[in-house]
Amino acid sequence: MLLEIKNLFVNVGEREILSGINLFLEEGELSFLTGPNGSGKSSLLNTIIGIPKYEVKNGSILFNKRDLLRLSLTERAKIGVGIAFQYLPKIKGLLLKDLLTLISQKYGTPKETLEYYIDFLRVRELLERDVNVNFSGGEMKRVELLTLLVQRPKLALIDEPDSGVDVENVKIVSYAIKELLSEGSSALVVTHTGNVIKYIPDARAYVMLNGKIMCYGNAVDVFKDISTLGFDGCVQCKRKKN
Amino acid sequence: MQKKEELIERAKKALNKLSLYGPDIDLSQFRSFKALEEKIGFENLDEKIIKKAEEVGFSYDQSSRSGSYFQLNNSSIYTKSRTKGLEIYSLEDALKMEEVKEKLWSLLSVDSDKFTAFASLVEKAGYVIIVRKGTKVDYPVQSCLFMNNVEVQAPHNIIIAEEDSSVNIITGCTIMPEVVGLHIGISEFFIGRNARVTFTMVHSWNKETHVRPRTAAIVEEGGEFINYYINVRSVLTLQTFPRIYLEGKNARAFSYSTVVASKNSIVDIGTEVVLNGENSRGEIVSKSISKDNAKIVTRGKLIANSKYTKGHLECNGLILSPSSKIYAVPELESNIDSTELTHEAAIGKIGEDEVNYLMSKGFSKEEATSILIKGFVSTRTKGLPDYLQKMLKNIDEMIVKVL
Repeated sequence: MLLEIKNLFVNVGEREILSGINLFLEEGELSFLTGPNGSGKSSLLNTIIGIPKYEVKNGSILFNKRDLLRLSLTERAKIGVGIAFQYLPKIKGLLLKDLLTLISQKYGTPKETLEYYIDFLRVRELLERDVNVNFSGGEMKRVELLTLLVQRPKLALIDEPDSGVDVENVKIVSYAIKELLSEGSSALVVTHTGNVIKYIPDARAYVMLNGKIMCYGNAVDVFKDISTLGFDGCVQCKRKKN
Repeated sequence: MQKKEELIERAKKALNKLSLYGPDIDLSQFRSFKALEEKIGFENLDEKIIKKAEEVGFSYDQSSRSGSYFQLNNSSIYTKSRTKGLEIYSLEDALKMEEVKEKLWSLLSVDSDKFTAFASLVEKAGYVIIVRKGTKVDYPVQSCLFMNNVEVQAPHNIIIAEEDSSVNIITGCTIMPEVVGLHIGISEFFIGRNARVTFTMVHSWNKETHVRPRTAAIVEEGGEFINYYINVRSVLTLQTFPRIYLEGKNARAFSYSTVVASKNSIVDIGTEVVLNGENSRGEIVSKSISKDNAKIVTRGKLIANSKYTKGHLECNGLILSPSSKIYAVPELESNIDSTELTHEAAIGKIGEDEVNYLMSKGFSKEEATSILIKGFVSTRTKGLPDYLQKMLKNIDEMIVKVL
């Protein structure tokens, strides 16, 4: 088992935002995480990667049997947890090409591989620009996926790669996720719209509601139900409860 | 032309006149100062001096330089032009020329404050660079004002770029670590019609130095003045407020400054651009980093006196310690209706989101912080020549290292 989350309770300040999450991911496996706004999907990813404001009150997160909660953000990245955030800070004065070079050096990724992925994700024209400054929605998603491909993590956490982007970009980021999987990564992908599922259907989907995982099942089936019943339907759902 | 005796008289009267900005200092401690002639030649400079000069952009072997000036303490020990149409003099030699003499103290007044007054009375050395009409100087011209073992340096520099000429000038001012000093550099720039001057000044002082540069520039029709000021190391006190007069139609000025202050340093720095020419444009960008107990005031002023003018002002401050302070004073003044003046100012500490973002990509907290500081200081403008881009990059790295 690559990732084992058991009975996870998380607060941001005084507020409880995750209330007893159980989630498992095998090596090489892809899972989607869906649910309405504010249900805790992004919070779960941010907790796994270790953003300090997400305070774990109870439960455990094991990664390759190691206790992730004892490790800093940097250490988690180093042992193979990578993330593509949904909201990105603008970093003025840091050129994208410099960031990518630094990341490649850190992970020992050959220059040719970096060059290949730059074209694969169509970001060449952004290289001379400051990181995330005035990037469009699609450009940001592509850049984040590119950093993951350069990092080659064992576990890729990908937050809403398909929201706020056009069809063409959904296709590109979906191929990038496929590429990550074919390179041996596992992935936990948050999707609100389910647009990426069309390109990578062979996966499980978890449905979150109010900080809890309500159910899981085959991704295509889950999204079919959600599109007809809405997230409200989850409450009465007969699918296997987590 | 102003008579010498008159100037001396006015200066003497202004010796106690406070500067409009910045902390006051007691100049009486420097009154007994006498400038001496240096015996040492440029060829015999000490290894330590050369190394220190190179830190502020001076190339001792002069590779890729069109000309050089080196001042040790209060003596011009080297002047050299390697390009036709480019003339480099020591102030003393240049003052034999009427065209230079009439420009001395024409943009700045000896009695504007005690520092100009003091400098005018000392007034030893400094460089005069003249770029003759139509001359496009390929490689940069370099100068270094070096304080080795004296407590006062008060050079007077005059830069004249005649019609249709263009030149890049790099000036490095530095001091040996153990010297307690006062540096008052007086600089007057005359930028002719359609001439272009890129002036980069790099300062690297020690924590015992008081620095009071006094600068003014006039830009004629179609002329352009690009001014970079970078203060690499912390000083005891620093105050400067260059004024750029865009007199001619379509004249342009860009002024960028980066200042670092740490320990108990007090810095007051700004630029004023006066838009007198129709359709003239001015841009002022400043970046300040404060640490420890340092205090930085960062000013900027745009004054529009003519129609179709445009100006933008930007103050950015990065605070690295809770006990340091940055105070930004952006000012816009319009005396006509058809102008467009804008400003933005932002002061803050290093963003947590940015640090987390970089840490999630595998960087340590320290690495993330230094990447962000470097990003903050790196000054980039399109069309900057390669050598300058490279030099500024090295300087950015030094700033991060020194901090």
